[in-house]
Amino acid sequence: MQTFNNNRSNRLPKILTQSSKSLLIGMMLALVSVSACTSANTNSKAMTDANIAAIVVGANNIDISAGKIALKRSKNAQVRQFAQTMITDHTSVLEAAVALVTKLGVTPVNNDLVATLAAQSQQHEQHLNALSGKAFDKAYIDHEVAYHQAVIGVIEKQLIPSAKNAELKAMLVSVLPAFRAHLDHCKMIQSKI
Amino acid sequence: MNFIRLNHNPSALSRGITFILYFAFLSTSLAATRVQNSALQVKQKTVIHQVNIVGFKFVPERLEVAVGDRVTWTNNDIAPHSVIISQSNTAKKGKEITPRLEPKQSFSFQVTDGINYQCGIHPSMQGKIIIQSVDKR
Repeated sequence: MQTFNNNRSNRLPKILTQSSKSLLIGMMLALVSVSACTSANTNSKAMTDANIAAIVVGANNIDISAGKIALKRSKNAQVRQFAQTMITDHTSVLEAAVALVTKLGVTPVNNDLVATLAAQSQQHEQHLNALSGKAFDKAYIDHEVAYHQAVIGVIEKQLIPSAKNAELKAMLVSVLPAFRAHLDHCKMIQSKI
Repeated sequence: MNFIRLNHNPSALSRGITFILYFAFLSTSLAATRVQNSALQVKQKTVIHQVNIVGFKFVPERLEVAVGDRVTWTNNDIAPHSVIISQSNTAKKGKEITPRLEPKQSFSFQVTDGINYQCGIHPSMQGKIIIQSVDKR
């Protein structure tokens, strides 16, 4: 009985890890493919400042939401501290972004990338809510590494070149160091769990 | 007459020279004391160094100071930061140098030793305080 339980507990994280990997790959592919489509259709369907505003708001909300799940489900001090940092920092970025687009009179308009991010995020949260212990910590941190890498790529290659308003462009440039510091931080944790 | 004058004048001359030398010595000593006092005042005056926290970096990342100088960290970033002894510095690792600094907040710290430090919230943010050699002051 004990052996059976051990086998199950050993097999379960493997299955979930595979699921986690496919989810991560899915999200990365979605970001890359939507970015590629946006790039290819630049002339016919260029990304507007309203789309960029929606992406910035959406991307920050996704990480805040994942951080709140981590605070509920993780017992690892480093993971919890990172999750709290994500909530605090992305809330600050979100508030600054909302203040700027309000000042500029830009109303966020969703596009394909926002819809894809939202769908993938929902799937990821369902996945996280089914995990606990080390399996949770690994899935959460692995996803944070992939997510920050993907978002940095989108900001650098898509959002900054597409932004028309100089203040919006400057805001995008100014938030990159935060995302890079978060990426370094979650990579440090990833190497320890 | 000339002999007498010569016989009396060396004594007056000697006294004159002695007086001049004494006066010169006194002036030099006073001047030297003034220079020493002024150097002492310079040494006693606390120098305040500024470290700007901006773009998730400590600027400058490397700072040379003298023992007794103060370092003031000012958070000009969008997110909160703090300063702790770097994890790599085993003796005092994790020791808090500043409390959590919200945007626009500052904190001043008197330096007693060289340290490697980092942000307590974002560990990839690193900085270093080096104690300046005396001849550089």
